Amino acid sequence: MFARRLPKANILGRHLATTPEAAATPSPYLQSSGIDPDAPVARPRLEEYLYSTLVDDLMVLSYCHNSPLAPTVEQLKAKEGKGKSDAYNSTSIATLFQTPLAKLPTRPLEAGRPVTNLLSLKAARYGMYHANAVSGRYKRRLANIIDYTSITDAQFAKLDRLRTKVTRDEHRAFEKHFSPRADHLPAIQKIVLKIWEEKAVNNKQILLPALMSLEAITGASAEPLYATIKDATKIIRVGMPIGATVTLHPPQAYEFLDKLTQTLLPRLREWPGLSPLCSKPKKNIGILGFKIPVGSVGAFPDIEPHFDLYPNLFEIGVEIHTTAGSEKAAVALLSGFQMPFRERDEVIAEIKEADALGRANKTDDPFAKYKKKDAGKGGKK
Amino acid sequence: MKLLVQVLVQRNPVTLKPLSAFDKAYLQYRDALLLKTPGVTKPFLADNFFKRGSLLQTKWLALHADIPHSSPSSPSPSSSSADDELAGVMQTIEATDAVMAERNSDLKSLDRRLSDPVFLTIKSKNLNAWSLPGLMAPLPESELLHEAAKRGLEETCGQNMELWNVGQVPIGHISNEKEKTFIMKQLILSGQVELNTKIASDHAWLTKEEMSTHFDKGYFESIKDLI
Repeated sequence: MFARRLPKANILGRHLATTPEAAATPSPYLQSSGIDPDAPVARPRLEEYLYSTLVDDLMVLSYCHNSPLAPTVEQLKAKEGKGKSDAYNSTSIATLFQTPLAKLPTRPLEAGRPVTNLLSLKAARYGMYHANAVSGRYKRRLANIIDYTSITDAQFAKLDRLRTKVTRDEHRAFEKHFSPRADHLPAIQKIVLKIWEEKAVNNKQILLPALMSLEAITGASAEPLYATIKDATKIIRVGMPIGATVTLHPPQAYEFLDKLTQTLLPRLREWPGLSPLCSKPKKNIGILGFKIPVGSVGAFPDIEPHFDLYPNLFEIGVEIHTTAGSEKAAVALLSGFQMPFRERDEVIAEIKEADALGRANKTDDPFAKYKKKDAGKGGKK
Repeated sequence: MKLLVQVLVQRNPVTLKPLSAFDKAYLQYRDALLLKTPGVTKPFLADNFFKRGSLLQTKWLALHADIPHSSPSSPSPSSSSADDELAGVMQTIEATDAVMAERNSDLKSLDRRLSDPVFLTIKSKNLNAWSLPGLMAPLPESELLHEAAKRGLEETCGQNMELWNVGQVPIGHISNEKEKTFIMKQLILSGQVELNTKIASDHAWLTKEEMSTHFDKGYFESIKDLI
């Protein structure tokens, strides 16, 4: 499939994307991998912008000179003499890239995500650690993956201690909470799109356009989402497919973000902007999200020309996961990509109002909902 | 100890940089990995977009029959009409190249060197040397750094530029026994320089390599890590 070369079509790619250096003999890797060396490569604009330009400004905006972790001039000078600084104490992004070739990761991790540089290796390891550290009744199953037999609590505790001891030193270096280090600058980790439609309880088939719309928008495979909590009043049982989801990792995540800001968001009517507050502040601070209303999903350039193919469209919840350690850093990152945000004070005031209203309506009387509201009228005569 | 302020006014790059052989190889490697990873790219199912067996579908499939892909995001077209379109695009690109080459040589144009960031430099009259624009006099005690930076820049380069302060904290400093110069960063969004000829004789928007030739060696060494 890749052996056929189309000289005319590839002049454009060659002209725009390469320097004379690139016309040299192709490497043995290229020859054996079957990639057409003249075909254009995916260059997500936002990713290149982030690493070349935005990251410098984000560092200026988020660096906290008063932090106890901020190194003093004497500490920096002392490190200069030593040469290699260890992972925890490194303060320059250059040390991450001054790694001998033998130590660079050259193949995808078993976890599934391809990893091609040390920054994403760290992120992938951190993600794997947290994926395994689930709590509750699922914890024990992960302990013995060979035959899934459960082990005693003592055995589990021992394994847990060993595992945490190995990973603790690596992951202290990748703290989620902000510390003023160049390699702790925020980047997009993943974008998750979710559709949740309870009408699918009665009719599974309506999930097909949901899955298709997500695939059309993102170009990635969509998976169904299953119920995890039962609700007898809505006839929901655990395990029923009620939603759809798709996860985008970089570089596709950056391309999707570009599509949102350039084509979809300008077409949303009366949309005030993203909320600058994190919805899950305790668990993962760097997640910001918003919902695309049902009427606007058809505005995607991938759906609009084929609008009639979709019998129903659904509200899409977009979650943008960043590696930021604070809300402000996440907001700075996304506003650097031209995502519009609401005023932080306005959103906080709105939430307080809603809370106050909720508390005002709440009563301690357990029979309040059965009593007639117009009590002054009296009964039948 | 005198405190001075200088401003690094940056115009961000507008276009993507040309790729080196290493960059291209890395991106092709990443694309190849992503093609192998399941779930990342969905093979295109024409049935989802066309009525099965319709004329439109047949035409579209014929058009896209033989396409060499190296990246999931950018397939290259192969039809004859696409080639003609391509020829037209090539001509436009060559014409644009000629215009851009001319603009690159004009040191005062904000459209020069679009794939690199460019920084504002002025040639001060007193010292007859190139430097970053800034406050000519020492900082008064009542004034904050970022306000002084704004004032100094307006005095030297006019009020016709729309600028955005990157935070209120300096990005670096140069210190001697006598004085400390703090450097603040600003991004130019629109507008142009209107030079105050009493303070400065010339201005230029320079890339980092060009600054190394224009500035004094010691001065450039102290600011090269900030750029």
